[in-house]
Amino acid sequence: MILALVAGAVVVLGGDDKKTAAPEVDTSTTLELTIGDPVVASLNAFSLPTDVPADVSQAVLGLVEDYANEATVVPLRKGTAKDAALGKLFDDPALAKLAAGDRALLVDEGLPKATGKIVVTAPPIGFTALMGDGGAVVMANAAIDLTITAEAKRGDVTIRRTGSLVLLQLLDSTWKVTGWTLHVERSGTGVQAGPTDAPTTTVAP
Amino acid sequence: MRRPLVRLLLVVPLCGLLVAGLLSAAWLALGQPTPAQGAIWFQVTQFGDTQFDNSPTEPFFFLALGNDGRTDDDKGLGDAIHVIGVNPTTHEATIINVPRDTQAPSGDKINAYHALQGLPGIVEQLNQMMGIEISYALTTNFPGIIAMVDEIGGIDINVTKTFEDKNSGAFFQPGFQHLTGDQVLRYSRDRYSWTDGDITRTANQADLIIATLTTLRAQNPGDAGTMRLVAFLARHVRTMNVDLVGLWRLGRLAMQIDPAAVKSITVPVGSGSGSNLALTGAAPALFADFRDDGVVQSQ
Repeated sequence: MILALVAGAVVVLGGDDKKTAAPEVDTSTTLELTIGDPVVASLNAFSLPTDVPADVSQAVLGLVEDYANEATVVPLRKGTAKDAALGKLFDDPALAKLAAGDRALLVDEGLPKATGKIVVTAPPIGFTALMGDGGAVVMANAAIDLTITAEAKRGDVTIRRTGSLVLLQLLDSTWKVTGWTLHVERSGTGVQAGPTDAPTTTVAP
Repeated sequence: MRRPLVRLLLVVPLCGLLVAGLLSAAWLALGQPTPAQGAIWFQVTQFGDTQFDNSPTEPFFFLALGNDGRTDDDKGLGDAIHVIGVNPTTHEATIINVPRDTQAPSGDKINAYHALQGLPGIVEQLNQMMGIEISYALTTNFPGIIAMVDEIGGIDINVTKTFEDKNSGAFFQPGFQHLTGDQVLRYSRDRYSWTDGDITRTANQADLIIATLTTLRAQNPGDAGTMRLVAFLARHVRTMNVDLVGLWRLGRLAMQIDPAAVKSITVPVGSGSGSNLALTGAAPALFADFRDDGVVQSQ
């Protein structure tokens, strides 16, 4: 699935016809993720399903892509993320955790703005589904390994975010992020040192 | 209240409480368990309206109770009583071990209230005693604890003293050991190796709770692993008033707690009426320290 493939090639021209045209700047964004085969954790010990409904897989994939877009691509372009957009991705407890200090880890704000293309690459999302007796998937874990490269004025900015997002299906059937265990590394000219691990996430011993 | 044969103390693993039990009670939203899927190892009940929502807010309290009931209909004496305070902000916890013969606020031994009134009865007594509001309670019995420990592959523990008790069959030498379910039960029941009997026994049970947390954390290094553990354990839990998501979050929180950040403190008791043990003058200060943030700092 391609969430956003923005062919935003911009041609910057000078005002004087006699001057040579400035080189074309590619401001496209490539964010194309895939999801791996699900691992089913089922409460039914004697009838272990192996298949997860396609709409659930798509919902998980879509949510992870939305997260990558709103938490990384948009801030790289604009400088900050949109709170309203984040509110659609995280449930209320998760938003409280963001406000309590995790935002600096989960959202790539305050980095040098991307002036060129942004490319997000990743291996297939590791997908674990928690399934009830009736076969409904009530929670999911998305193991991610995202590498984001953004062209900025002073050179490339690179972000590597690894770990997992825990996703929950709400009563209205929408899926939202409710937890995470993430590690992030950001590098590039002008990138200020920031947190690499969230204070409220699960920490393996 | 005494049961003639065995005054059995059951260890109720904290992670069993938080991860195994609570977490797994995930069920609630998933429907009733199918009995054929496996024996019920423990029961998880939520009290009151407060439910942990994973927000970094208020501390909360759990009761982990071992009972000596032989069947589902037999509540049994609440002989292993551990009130666990968890601080979600600091990721710390304190286990308050309550000797079973401690006199409850209403006058009888604290362990009798489970046999007479079930979990609500003993929870009410503990709430009164400590000035807290227990949000969740987990209880298990002998077969439950053996099966649960065996299913998770046993528990690693550093035995710090010599156990020699033919009554419980507990014979352990100091050192790091890997205990099976049966050994865990023996370890948790031994009160004859100690001059103060149940006082040391209840502290030993807390050591097992912490060791179980350590073992589960070592087996479960991530969110996906937690999810698989939930599914596995949820096949063996009976829940009451427990919400799936809240329980999952509780279990997840448990996995964040470093066992080194878990204190174990036994309620100070002395001679009381008859064979009852009375709280000493140090108890009120302990409970006050415990209830303000779920963690005892003064000890």
